Amino acid sequence: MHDVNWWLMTLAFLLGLLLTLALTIRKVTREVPVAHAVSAVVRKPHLDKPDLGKAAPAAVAAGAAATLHGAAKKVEKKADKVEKKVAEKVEKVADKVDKVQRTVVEKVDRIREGDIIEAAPYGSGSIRVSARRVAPAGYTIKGDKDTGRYFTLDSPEYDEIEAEVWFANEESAAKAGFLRWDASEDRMVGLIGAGAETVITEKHVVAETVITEAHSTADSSLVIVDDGIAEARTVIVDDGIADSTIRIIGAED
Amino acid sequence: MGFLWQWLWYLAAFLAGSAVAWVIAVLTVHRTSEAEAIADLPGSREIGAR
Repeated sequence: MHDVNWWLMTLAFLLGLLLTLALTIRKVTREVPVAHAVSAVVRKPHLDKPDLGKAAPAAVAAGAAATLHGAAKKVEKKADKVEKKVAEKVEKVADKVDKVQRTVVEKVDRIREGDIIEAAPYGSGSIRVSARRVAPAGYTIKGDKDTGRYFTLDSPEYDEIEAEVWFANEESAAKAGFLRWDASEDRMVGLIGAGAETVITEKHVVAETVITEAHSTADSSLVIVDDGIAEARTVIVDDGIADSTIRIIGAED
Repeated sequence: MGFLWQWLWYLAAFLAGSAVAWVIAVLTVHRTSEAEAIADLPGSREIGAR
């Protein structure tokens, strides 16, 4: 001990103390388990002391799998949200396009409102204009040539009907031979001449109605009678039976 | 030979300092159980499960 340098002894002692303390004592860092799987592996009931050597890789793998699963779920949720948002936006855009289309059609109709094609196609009180949806001034009743009916404002189909002719009032429409939109199918045909002497007094549009009191001197066995309805129902009348009894053999609806 | 003895003394001093440090560590830092460790860090499992 004579040759020992006490300063160096103290230095060695302090080095041992500090190095050991630095290696053994460390501040605790907050560590969070990755998933439940980790703690489940470590806390197996049959293991008194958890075999960390074997459990650790499994735990890490399980943790990684759990993390991946969680990430996949999050991505899935986000994708769902994005999909919903896109669908909503597409719907909104479609609605807007539809609205714009309607307004454009209405505007075009309004511009063409004064564009009269024919002043009185069915006598006074009727008019034919290029606009088919927006009523021209003074003419509110829509006439549909295809069905032979006129539509007043109280008709539920009024907005959908494209008018080929407009009427000022119901009387004008009725005079023109149009039926009211809610009128019955049955109608009186009236007197229709088909040839010199043929007179059909009464008939229903419904098929298989026998016309009895019809007298015909016409030689032709086939007479085509048009009842004038705008639906262009054509009734074929056959007078082949003796005594000139005319029977409707077919009527198109 | 005297040189070797000197280094042995310095080594002994180092080990003595290390032993003192170990005693300090053992006395100051207590061993804790798993349940206590979890209780000391509340919410950590929930964070890990997320």
